[in-house]
Amino acid sequence: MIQKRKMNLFFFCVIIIIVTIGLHYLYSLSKLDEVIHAIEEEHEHHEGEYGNNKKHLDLYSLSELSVINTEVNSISDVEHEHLNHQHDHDPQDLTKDYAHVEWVNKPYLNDIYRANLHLKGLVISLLILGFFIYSYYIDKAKTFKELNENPEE
Amino acid sequence: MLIQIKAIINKYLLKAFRDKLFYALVIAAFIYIYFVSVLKFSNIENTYQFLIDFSISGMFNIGVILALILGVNEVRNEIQTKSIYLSLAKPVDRFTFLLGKLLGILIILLSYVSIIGIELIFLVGKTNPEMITNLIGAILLVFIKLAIISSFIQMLSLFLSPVLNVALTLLISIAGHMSMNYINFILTESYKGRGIFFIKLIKFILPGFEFFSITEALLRFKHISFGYYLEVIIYGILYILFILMISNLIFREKNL
Repeated sequence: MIQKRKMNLFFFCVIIIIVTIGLHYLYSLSKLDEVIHAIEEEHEHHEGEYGNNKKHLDLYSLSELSVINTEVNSISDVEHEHLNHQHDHDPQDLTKDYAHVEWVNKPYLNDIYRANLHLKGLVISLLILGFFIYSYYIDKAKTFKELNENPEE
Repeated sequence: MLIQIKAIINKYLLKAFRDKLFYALVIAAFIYIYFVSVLKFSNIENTYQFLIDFSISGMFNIGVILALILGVNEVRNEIQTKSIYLSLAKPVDRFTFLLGKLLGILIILLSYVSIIGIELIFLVGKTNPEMITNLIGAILLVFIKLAIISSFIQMLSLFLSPVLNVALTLLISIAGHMSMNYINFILTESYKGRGIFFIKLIKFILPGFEFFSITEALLRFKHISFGYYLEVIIYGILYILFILMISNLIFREKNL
């Protein structure tokens, strides 16, 4: 009986921890709208600069947004110059462009890709919570069934 | 429950440390990193970038081999030789058994990562001491990646043959490392079908190893916030817990 109480307490603590983590991730995700809004404003501001390169912009719309987002985060002046230099390149030169996009979209620099991590964390914590509840009720149902079958116990 | 887990870990460690292969792989990794720091394979002037790039990826790759050797046959052998009955009759429930085995593997991987990590910190500390904090973070994230892979190996070993297990683990490792940018890039360039959603869904379900890879920040001398490490580590632990629960569901329905 004591063992069972301990297990219940353990399950309760785990559920509390998981719910807290899930809420944290949910809160982080709710801030994503602000980030996207800031990026859109910056994008409108920079539209003139990218106007000459419409095809390129369409192809990499998200990436371009991320570039601006990184500019909002203001990495450093040297890297800023590097980014501007990259935009002067031929849009067909995809290899160089990809390497550049890959760097500026690193999750530790870019809030959008970091939000992806939060979303994954949230989904996993919810799934674990589901598993806990499922296994708890399944065990309970099994015990109940066994007791019904063997009432003497 | 803790005493039972401890007993399973002790039993596993006794067996694993007796195996010479662990020592052979640690020595191989140790020599590899030393050679990377000493030898010049190209005309690159700054050997720091070279050392970081090659040693972190090398540490991970040798770690995957070690995890495969440790985990691919562990539960399977116990079932085949019937020695699992001895443990389960103690009584140890199946979840405890799996958890104990996984923790045993993780302790061995941790000792491997620590030995190689200390060597790497020593080599990098000589030239770039300001990057040591980030380097420790990168080494820790390599360990979490190896832990996720080990839990996958354990789960797959419950219902797949060793060959298929190795193949699938390597596939998961490669697909997990692909960044979402790269997948978007490939899809924009070459594929316009309806399968895009499923490809993205599979990528979402697989572990996001790209979040654990901070080598590029180390190469560019970019410091990463403590909060980011914390978030990634929590994500890794949750993922391991999730895989462990799926393993438990498979294992408790399995006829031994």
